[in-house]
Amino acid sequence: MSSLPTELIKLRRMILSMGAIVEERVNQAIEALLQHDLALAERVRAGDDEVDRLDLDVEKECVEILALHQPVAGDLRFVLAALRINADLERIADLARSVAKRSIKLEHQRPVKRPRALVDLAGAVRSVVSDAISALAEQNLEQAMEVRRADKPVDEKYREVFAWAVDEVSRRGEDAKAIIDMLSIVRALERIADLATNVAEAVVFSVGGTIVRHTPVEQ
Amino acid sequence: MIHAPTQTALANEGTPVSRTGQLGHAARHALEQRGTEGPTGVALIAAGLSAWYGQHQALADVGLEVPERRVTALIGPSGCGKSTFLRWVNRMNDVVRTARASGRLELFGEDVLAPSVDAVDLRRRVGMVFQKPNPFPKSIFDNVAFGPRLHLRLRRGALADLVEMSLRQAALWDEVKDRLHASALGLSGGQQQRLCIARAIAVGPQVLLMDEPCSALDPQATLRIEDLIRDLRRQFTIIIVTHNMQQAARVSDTVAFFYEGRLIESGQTVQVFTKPSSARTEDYITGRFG
Repeated sequence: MSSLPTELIKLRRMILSMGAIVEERVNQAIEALLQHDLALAERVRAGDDEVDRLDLDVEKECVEILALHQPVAGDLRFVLAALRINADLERIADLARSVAKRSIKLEHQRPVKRPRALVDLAGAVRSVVSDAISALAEQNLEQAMEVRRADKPVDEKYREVFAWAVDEVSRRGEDAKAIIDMLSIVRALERIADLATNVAEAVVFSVGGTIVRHTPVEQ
Repeated sequence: MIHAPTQTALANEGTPVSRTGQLGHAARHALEQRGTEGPTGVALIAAGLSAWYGQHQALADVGLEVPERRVTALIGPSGCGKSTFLRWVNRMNDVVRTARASGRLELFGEDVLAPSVDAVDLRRRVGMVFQKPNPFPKSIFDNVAFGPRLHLRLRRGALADLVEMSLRQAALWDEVKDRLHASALGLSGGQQQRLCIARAIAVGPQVLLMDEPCSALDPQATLRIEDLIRDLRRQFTIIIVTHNMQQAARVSDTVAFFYEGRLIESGQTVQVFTKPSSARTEDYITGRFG
């Protein structure tokens, strides 16, 4: 094994690559949903292997660094953060795939207009993911803290879509299936934003040394 | 499109990522290749090796293969036989009247234990660095030139070149190039140890044996020697005895754990330090005994 600095650079490269791929998958899944793009949705649905491979590689690399180099301080925090971020990114990729799958299902049913709140939610989720990955890439504490604040509006939009769905189902029972599918998609998008927030919190730990999980967000 | 900061960060790290965010095949391959090296031959084979000092058996039936141009660390508690093993590789135990060995010990196919072996030539081919740096009470230049003067016929210019090359390889040249004729005893402990490494390298060995080379050095000097060991392994097979498990983990490719004269386990360092096969190995490397 080479020196610790070399291995840390290698680990950072792997995490950044994973972040880039996962961000792209999320963007594509949302694009496919909003633009009714079946072909794009199919591509997202089919393409999970790269992320799964990186997931295993990153975990293996972290274990080896810990076993062979016993890092301390910032180096230790970085490796621990990488383990958490790795798991969260892999979950985000899974959820993006799930969004794509359900979008395909949705396209094969009676068309239902996407409510404004869903479009806004999708846009907000895209931003949260993008900002989290950016904070990770730049090791930016401020931006990571911002991501935590951006989660609340996503939750509010999710409640709006839920309220719309309840109302819509009572008025148009024949579209119940499609509306419920849409709710599942929105649930998955909300989970993606949650996980992106986890990534940001891991960046806060890595850069700042503070664990901010379960601490109320200052608005 | 990938977010610009991620692209920048990745570009700074030298990893090409396509516009669609897919890790390019070439980049993935480069990531996998970095840090992995091709297969290598076997430098040393021990089979059924046993050794005694008088009536006391120090090694029992040791079987080990040491790969070429890699660092192999020998670890184990005091008295486990690791230094005894090391000292048979270049027949240093010849100087101990009561020492004897049986079994097979072959260096690049040659039987090291055969009575017909030229021990002096063997010790040129298998250099040794000891725990306490032991420069000769001579100049820095003469320390490194001593071995070549004895073993090789070189013109003066070629000798000076060889001394420079050896000192460069030992990462010492820049610190001593302006005082090559100063006494070696004036160097710091870490510098003296690097001088001893340069001295061993100068005669063109195949193998370098290191018996706790950093025990007498401060942490900074230790890390410099470890960096040096990582570089030297491109050219030499290195066998290092160390009490320091973290050092063994940091610096070696393969590790052999000795206990009470027996080889308990050997294998790739990453494997032994993440999932050892033997419970006794696990107890030792986790510090539960020894």
